Amino acid sequence: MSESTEKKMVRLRSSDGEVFEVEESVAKVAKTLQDMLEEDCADAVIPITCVRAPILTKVIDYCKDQVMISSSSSTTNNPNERTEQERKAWGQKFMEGVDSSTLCELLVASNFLNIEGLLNLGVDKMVSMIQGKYPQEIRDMFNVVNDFTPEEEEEIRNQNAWAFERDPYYKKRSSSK
Amino acid sequence: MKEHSEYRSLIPGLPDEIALDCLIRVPYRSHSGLKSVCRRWKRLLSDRSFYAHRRIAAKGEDLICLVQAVPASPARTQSEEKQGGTKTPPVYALTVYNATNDTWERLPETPLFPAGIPMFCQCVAVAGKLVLIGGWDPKTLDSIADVYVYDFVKGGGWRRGASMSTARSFFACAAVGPFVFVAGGHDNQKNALRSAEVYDPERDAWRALPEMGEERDECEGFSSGGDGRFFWVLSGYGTESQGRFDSSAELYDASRGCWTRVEGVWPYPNASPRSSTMWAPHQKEKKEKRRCGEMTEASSPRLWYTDAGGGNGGNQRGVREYDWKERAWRVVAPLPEGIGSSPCVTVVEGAGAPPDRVFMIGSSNGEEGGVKYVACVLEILNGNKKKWVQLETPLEFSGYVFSACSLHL
Repeated sequence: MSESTEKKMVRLRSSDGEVFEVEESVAKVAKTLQDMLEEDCADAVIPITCVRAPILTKVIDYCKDQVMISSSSSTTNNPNERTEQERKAWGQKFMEGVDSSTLCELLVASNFLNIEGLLNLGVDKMVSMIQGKYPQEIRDMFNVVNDFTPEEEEEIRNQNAWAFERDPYYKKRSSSK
Repeated sequence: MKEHSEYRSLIPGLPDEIALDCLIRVPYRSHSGLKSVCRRWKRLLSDRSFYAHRRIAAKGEDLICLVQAVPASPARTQSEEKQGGTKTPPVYALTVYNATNDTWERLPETPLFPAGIPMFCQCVAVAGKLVLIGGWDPKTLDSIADVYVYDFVKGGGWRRGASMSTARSFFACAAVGPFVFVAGGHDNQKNALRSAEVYDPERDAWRALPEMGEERDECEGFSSGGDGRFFWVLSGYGTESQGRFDSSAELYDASRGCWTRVEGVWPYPNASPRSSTMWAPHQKEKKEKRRCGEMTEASSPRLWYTDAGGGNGGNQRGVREYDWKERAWRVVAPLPEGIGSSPCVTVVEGAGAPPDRVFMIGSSNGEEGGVKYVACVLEILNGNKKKWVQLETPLEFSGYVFSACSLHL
């Protein structure tokens, strides 16, 4: 990390009133905040109206990490630099244990704050939560209302044989690179 | 929260735009599950625009459909031996190789096919649908006029389509624009056919085309011109010249409604072009300049032939391209070692034009004497380099393949 000249701090207020003080560089990971800060229209406290404190905490964690890995990336031997694989593993770890409602809030937050990397992590997480699940599991996870009539459901069940057999013939090429 | 009965968001608590971004990334094999979640998801995933979104986001998948013989189980072979060695014909099934995820599976069984899908039926992909046409009845072994449709977008499993006007097998067949053209082959009296017809999958209806100039059994068909205007029928033979392949081709111009004969395209009287010739993927980079008045892509399409040496009197094996100026098939890439005669090929449609991969499955010299079919993909790299990649082909998908086609979903 660079020598500690005095770091400019920014204050963010979550929708439920909690105030977070972060370094400006951390806040600037969010494109929306970067724009506001550069136009200097953000003194005092920036209200993040649609993001609750626990979600904002997670978002700030993500931004801090981004600052950490990018801060010394100009030097050749950056110990924090990650390979593609490490980045993937880190992303998975970061999203580990995030439940479906938290995930939706995180997606909304990263969309609003315009943090592309976090949005992508969230989308990937959503895909991994949905794929290979039974329809009822998906409905339960995301509160999607089943609006089919019993007759329609029966018909769908008969038609979509594929949905109900999970990967019987699944074969992964093991030797490929 | 919007809990209005008229309008529900795709995923409660998420703007539809983000929900859509997530849903288009879910792999195809989970789609029938998604369609069963609620009405709105069903509508969304049953619409072709959803697959257009996938294509734009580069999240589409390549499905290769194969009309494939199911390898006989040891139990069946044993029971045949007990019955004095009379072999029952192989059962055919529709195999789907997902070239994006490298997975193999079979389309589900259905009461429509009590004895497997028709033997030697042609498969063709058009507008998100897989269409099976003609072939032999698996019980009576007669040529049939049957058509079966599997809609990969709308779902709903197999359904029966309108039949052709005549029973037909070993014919030319290609998707030309939104239609499927068929020509030639033979009927159930083993008479080679001159007739041709066109199928409209939207209306589920056939229409007759003018007859070709020649009878053409065991011919091959493809489209050219890109805009769905031309249908090519390559080689084949008449009833009187059994097994001696004609050197000519016939070209149907859909906008003018007539056939044109093209001489000398197929110089291999002992080799069938069926399943091993194709309208080739375009070369990368090198844009072809054709002068005005010269032959266009439509009238002289780039043709490839995977020549495994069968029937050509010890010719050099390889992927050949037809040189319209020299009127000869030139080797442009090798074939993988060990691939036996008459491999089945199809160009992988892919997300963008031009396509840059070819899928091939062909017999391999099996280790224990048995014939096993193995799949490979030819990748066309930058600078027009070509590279074969052998795929791991599971035993249950190592049967003979009669016909192949490709969809991008």
